[in-house]
Amino acid sequence: MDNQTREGVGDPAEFAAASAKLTDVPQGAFALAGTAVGLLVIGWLLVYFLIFLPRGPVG
Amino acid sequence: MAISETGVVQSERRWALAMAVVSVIFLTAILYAAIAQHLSPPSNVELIDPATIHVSGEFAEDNLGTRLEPEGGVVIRLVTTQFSFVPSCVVVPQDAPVTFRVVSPDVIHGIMVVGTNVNTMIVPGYISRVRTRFAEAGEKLMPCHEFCGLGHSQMIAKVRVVPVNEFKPDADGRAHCAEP
Amino acid sequence: MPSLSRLILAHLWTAFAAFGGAIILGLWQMWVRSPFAAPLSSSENYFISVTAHGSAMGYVLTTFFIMGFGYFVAETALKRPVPFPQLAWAAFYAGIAGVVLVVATVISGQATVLFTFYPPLTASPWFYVGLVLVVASSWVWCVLMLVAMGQWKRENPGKSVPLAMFATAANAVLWLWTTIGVAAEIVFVVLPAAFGVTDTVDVGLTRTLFSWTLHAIVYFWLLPAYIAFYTMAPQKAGGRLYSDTMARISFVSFLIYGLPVGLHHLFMDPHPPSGFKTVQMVFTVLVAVPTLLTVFTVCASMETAGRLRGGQGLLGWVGALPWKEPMVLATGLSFSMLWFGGFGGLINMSYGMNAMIHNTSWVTAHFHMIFGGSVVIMYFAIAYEIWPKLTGRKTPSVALQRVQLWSWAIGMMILSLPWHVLGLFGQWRRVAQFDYSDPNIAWWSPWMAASLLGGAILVVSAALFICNIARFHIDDKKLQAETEPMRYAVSLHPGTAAPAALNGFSLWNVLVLVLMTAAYAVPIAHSFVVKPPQAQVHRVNGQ
Repeated sequence: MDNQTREGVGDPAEFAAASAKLTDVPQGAFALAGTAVGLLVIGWLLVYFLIFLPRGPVG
Repeated sequence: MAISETGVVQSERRWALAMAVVSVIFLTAILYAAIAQHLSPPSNVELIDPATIHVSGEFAEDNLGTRLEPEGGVVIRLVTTQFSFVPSCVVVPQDAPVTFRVVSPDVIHGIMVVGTNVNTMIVPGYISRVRTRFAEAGEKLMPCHEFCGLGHSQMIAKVRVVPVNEFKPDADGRAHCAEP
Repeated sequence: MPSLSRLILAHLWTAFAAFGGAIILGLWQMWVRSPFAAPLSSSENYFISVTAHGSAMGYVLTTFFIMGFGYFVAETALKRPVPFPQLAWAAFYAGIAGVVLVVATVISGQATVLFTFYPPLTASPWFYVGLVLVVASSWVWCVLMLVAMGQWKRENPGKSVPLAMFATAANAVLWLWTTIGVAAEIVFVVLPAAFGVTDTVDVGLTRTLFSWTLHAIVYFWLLPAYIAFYTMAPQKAGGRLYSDTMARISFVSFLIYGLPVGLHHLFMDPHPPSGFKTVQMVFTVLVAVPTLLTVFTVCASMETAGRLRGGQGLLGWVGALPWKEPMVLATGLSFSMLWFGGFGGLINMSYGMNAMIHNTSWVTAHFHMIFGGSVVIMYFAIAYEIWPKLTGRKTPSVALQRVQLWSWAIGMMILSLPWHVLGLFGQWRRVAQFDYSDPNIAWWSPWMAASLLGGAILVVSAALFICNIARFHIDDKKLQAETEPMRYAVSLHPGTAAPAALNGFSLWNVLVLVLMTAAYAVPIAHSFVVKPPQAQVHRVNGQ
């Protein structure tokens, strides 16, 4: 992790100043990823109840 | 100020915990289906020599197809071979527990009954067994779904699910499709 | 320009040449299966095409791309030359020899066994020899990656291996472990049968050995895309990697959980006992976790970028991202397809639910979405990112790159989503012609037509991709010199060194050994203890 401090995104001092904009991170990520995973679970449950279980037993 | 290192760790932990809850939801639903609803991948470790399937024993040609066994229970015996099912049509009673027993004398095949959860691979050397119950009457396609050679596309059988009062096995317990 | 640029470009052009040929075959295959009459549509041609398409996309595009990208990362992330370049070249040529053998045997109809080549269907032995050469060549790459990392660590004691290289090395370790299965299957069972030394095969054993490789191979394909998500996308977006530690944990998790779960590909096989299938399912749920973790960490990383650019509110940062950057666009498109691909994968892993879709088009649609879609679009983005560094020329048209990426994602959605529906409602796999006069099948027509349209869009997109990268090689005074070095993402908190456990693989190799033994020892031993009856070899070219 110590490998890229002088490269990549700007100067560390500049970054420290800009980082005031980052106070809300990672609320946005929680919102976006959370919604996506939530929809995934709902989709899975819909298939489970509406298609899978009605198709009958197997084993 | 941007989130601190501890904050990052805490947020990742929160998310990981949420993902653990999601995993438990899936696992619970899956295990409920497997145990309470008898919905699990079929397994059966029963060996058979591919070379002598036709010759004698359980899968000789005159013993194939649907049979109401003397001890009770409906068993459907099938041979999947390049490139047909023997027999290519079977009749089964609706709403009764039935057992498929399927073998291959040559290469890997696979069967599924469209519209149901019946699905298994037919691996030479083993007897595949699938237990199910057909809720709906009607004619269902049962294709071979694993590549078994150039004729694979034409390898399709039919399962006729008939209401119980139309399921009339003969004296030997056997039932056949009315016409092929 | 990296000193290994010629070697890297040789690998990447091999990969994309195979891709170009294979995608045309893919379109033809969709046409043959559709309600519309296609030329040359015999069963023989169809299954030769499926074998060629699958082998090219699954074995050549992937392996050569990953090797080329790996050499690039080893040089640029570690900032030192890759050790033993002559060995790397020798391995490349061995791999090319392998590809030639595979292509020749498949095209001549002597290896119509599909890319999964399940015995007892048996091809010409030279098909398998070709595959072995490709795998052996990749093993040299694996060793070189680990040697490069080891040498850097000795020269930089106490420091963390740069993430991009750590992940590349993790992928190398993964590949070494996972190829054991298919190598054992080919060397000990399939080649003796193909050469006529034996005339029967234990089919359960070959399926078990192949399953060892069959799941982790998709992580081998996928890890480079995740390397781009973690180390390239945040950088191009103007942000920081949210958590370097979490990224390392994800890569290690793929190594531990991705390897032992191969038996879930045998859920529908009779011979693995139910107990094993249940354990496999639980582990497979665990391997879904690193992707779920990645989604959050990458979103948070992109969020830093969006907020630094002025994005406000809970989701305003999404719009504020520099979507004009191909790497950023590709990441967004990849994540969109990952939702659908992940959804399909979760259904496949869900034990009894697998019975609903095993060997239906759902499976084919799923891996086209997640591999052809989410993963390959990142291969394109990586190519666009590194081609300027490899050729010393600036990108001539970023707009054309964006058009290509959009068309790939749109084409993939149109190809794959109707295909998922058909699979869920009964369409089975690996079929050359369907009888559309059968009422059970007739309703598929419009869905098949839609998928065919998706395939056509993909071919156009693929052609545009090839043009976009070829453009760099035209000695044109209009192209400016590329002077920027390769930059990888900086972590939000770059100070701390990674713990030893996340800086090397000794611990994880032990754990993998334990887990692989637990997963595979009994199923493999079963064949030797119980000695199931064997099947006759069935030669596909009628020898």
